[in-house]
Amino acid sequence: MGKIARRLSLEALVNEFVPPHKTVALGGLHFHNTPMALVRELIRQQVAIACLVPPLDGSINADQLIGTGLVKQVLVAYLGAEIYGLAPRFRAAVEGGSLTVRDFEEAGYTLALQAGASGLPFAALPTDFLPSDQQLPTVGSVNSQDYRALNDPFTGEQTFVVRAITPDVALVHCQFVDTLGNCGYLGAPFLDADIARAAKVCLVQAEQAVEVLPAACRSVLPGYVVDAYCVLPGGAHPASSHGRYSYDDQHIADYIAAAASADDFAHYQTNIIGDSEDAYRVAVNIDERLAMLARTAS
Amino acid sequence: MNYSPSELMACVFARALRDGDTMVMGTNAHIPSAAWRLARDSGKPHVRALIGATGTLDPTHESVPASGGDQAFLPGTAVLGLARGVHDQLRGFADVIFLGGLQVDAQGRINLAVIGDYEQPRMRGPGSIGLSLVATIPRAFLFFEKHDPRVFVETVDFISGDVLGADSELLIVTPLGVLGAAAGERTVKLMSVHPGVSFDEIQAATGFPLDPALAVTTVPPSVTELARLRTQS
Repeated sequence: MGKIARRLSLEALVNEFVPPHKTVALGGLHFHNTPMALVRELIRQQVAIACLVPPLDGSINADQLIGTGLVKQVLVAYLGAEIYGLAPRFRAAVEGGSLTVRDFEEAGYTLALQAGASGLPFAALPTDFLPSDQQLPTVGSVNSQDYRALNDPFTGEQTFVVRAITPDVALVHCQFVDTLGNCGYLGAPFLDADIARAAKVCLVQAEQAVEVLPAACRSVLPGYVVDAYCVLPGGAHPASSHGRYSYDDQHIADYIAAAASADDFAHYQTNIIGDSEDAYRVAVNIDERLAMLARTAS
Repeated sequence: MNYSPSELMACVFARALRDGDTMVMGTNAHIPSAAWRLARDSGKPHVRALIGATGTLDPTHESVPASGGDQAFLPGTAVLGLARGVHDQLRGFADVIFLGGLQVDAQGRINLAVIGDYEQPRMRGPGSIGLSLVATIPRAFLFFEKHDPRVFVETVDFISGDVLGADSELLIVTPLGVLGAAAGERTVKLMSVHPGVSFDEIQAATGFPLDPALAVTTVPPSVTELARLRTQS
């Protein structure tokens, strides 16, 4: 059945399309072009997540969801804060034993998302790609839920395959959405094209609604992938929105420092994430921040 | 002439790059990017750079952005995209990958996943990410801001990538010296000690034995190299 993407409020997107105890995927990469407003709304509506699928490089997006205790299990190729160090709430949850990790690496994660996006059951890695050892743990030995060795049916050589990632819901951020639900990216789409297609339902937060996508868009997510969207300028803050604004270095540094303690994280959740996106925008003085961080397409 | 540890590290990498190499870099690209430009300015004009996060080929940034996913990494000869970049690395088009890690061991294995027991880690790290790609990229260049015995260990706690096990070449540059192994070798050895650093100092900072007979001094940056590094935009 064809899709007609519906424009809804941020609150309604989460309320109508993200039931509890599902597998939820996030777009973007690190603190770039990632759907932070949707992440904050999941936290406000306290949506329990059975399995979180962060971007290939997960960041504050996954760290905040994990910090609230909503996430039971997480897939990890990389989950950290890049130039800011480690992801503190993720680290605390794993070391405290309250979060299960399914460890991946870059090639397997990318191929698993692409398999999901293409309707393939799994993808094969190059022969002898994964390290193996009798004594020490490796991705192949600790994550048999996603990685399995099998014999290539053509050559008989042993190789690893990685199971398709097929989230229930994908959340992505883009710069433009047109009246048919086509989504335009001014900058890098990272793996959003695959994340969005791999999921059963795709929700989008766009910076701006337009009649026709501008020619400056480097990439387009077709409307036939998109179930519903909201329009929210600045919705990626404190992450960047390529072509619109840079990441908020001060905010992210402050968050990483606060997230080192459960109490300070709780304070961030209450006072910054707040009980509505409007409250967040007031708390961070969004107009002033976005003006300071403004970037144009490159 | 005075120089910084970063300038020396960039020089060591630039000298190790060969004309025609395609090198992959990502986060903390300051040293790899400086090495890339220095190599191109030093008679190796066909060294190419691929940015992992965006798949940008030969980026034309004026100053190196801190974050690998910054939009400042987009302008370049081409933007292949993240997935195509990964496929090209699997296919074997990349010659060199720049990486870091939480641990490196005497057998050239690298770890970015956990410190301690896997099930109950003492420290949960970010994850194995591109360290696995050493299997399909013949030379791994590792750089560290600190040379620390907690990083250079006898045996890693988790194998994210096995450089020497994949018969790849390993080159490790730190503020104290250069370690590494040629393709086909199975043990990491000392290659050189930086000027002003003693063998005892680098041995004390390394958790596996090094051979003092190999403690030659790293060639310091030449006046020409420093001039080229400092006029890079």
